[in-house]
Amino acid sequence: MSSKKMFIVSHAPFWHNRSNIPERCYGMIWAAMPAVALGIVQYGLPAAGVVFLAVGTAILAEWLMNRLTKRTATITDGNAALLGLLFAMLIPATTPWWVVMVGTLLTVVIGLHVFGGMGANPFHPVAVSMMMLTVSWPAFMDFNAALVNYELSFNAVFPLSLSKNLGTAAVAGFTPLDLLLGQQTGGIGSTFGLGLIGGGLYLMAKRYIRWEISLSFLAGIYMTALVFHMAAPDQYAGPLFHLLTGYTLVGAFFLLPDNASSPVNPIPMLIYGAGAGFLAMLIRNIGSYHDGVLLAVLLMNLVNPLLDKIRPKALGKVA
Amino acid sequence: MTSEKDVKLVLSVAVVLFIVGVLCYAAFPIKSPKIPNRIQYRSATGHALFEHIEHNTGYDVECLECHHHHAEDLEDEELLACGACHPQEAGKASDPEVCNECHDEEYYEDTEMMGRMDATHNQCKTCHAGIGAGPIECAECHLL
Repeated sequence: MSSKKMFIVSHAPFWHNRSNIPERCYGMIWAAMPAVALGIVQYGLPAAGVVFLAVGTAILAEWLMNRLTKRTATITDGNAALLGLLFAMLIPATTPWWVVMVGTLLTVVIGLHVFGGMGANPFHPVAVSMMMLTVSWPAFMDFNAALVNYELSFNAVFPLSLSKNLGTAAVAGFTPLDLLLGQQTGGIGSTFGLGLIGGGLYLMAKRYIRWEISLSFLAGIYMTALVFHMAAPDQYAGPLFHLLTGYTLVGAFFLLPDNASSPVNPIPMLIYGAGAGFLAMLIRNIGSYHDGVLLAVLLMNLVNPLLDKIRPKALGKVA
Repeated sequence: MTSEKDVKLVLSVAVVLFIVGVLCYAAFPIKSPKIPNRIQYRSATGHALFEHIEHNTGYDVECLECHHHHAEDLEDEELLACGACHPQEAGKASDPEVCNECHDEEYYEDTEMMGRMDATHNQCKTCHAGIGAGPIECAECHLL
């Protein structure tokens, strides 16, 4: 009998959409461009510096890890560049260079390569790195502190900080149109609602991400925020506000649908997305953080293997 | 399969992006404006974000109403920040050490320099109570 390996079967996740990894990664980078562009227009060249430094560091870190682990260079697949870009989208434009570099290295090394590289990471690498930075240097991740020197044409207090501390009346000035047009403080690429929604629709249309995850997450945010708002309208802001502030839209279209850390079957995808939305709103409204999206992503990443146990039964029976 | 040429190309792009990023940081550093837009007072009880320019231009509060220097001929750029006299920790030695090193004793008692926390609470709450506008309760300013 020949010992030649005819077929190599790997475990999930996999599905066929006639695309490949580089196409998906570069597609996601293009989809993020409108939101990043508005951030650079709003915060100027310092924001561009953060983006360039993060993307450059991420690719170099990936290459160094490839060399260190004696693996084939994977920097051409676009995944490292995408992770660097996503990390830059979530942080303030004034983040010091060394925090950008530490955060990017945490993303690529701790979030990704420690687990074996792309496809093997149980958590979204950017969410891992962001939470490590938030716990280690909270002042740099505090938008109210980071953006004090900017003269902005809108209320410069982070909307989720206002709603959490002062209730619905304090955020009445943020209209949905303002939020859609990026008239709010936040990460470099996480405030331009229209750009993120446009990017998300493109990603879903191209099937780079699964609509089940993104839309169920947004539905989870909406329904949970609605219940809170109906229970105490003065204390908890409405669902539309929560859909368009913080990391909601970045989370829905760029973080949660990560291939390796999200479920592969439709029903688990719906539970995964809705569960993340529910948890994000619980953390926002009754937890200690202003924005719960990153923690919700990590928590749902954690239960992802359990969710994938919900799957169609195989036909036939064991003899 | 990735070719060596592609790897070199992406690596070159990464090096260029890295250098451009460093240059952006070096050439366009975030500078604090001469007159601060906003000031965040960090505290364990929640950070208070003070809209500095908004008080001056939006609410028409004159500089010297808060920056209580004793001379009226000071130019804006010479105004001292609260922390220049009021130490961050109450009771800690400061320069000046007592109010009357600058203020006339007919206006101020010759007391030890007030800490920054007491000074800002006193200043903000007295003014807000006087005009009947602005936050007075703790949680209205201190955002956790």
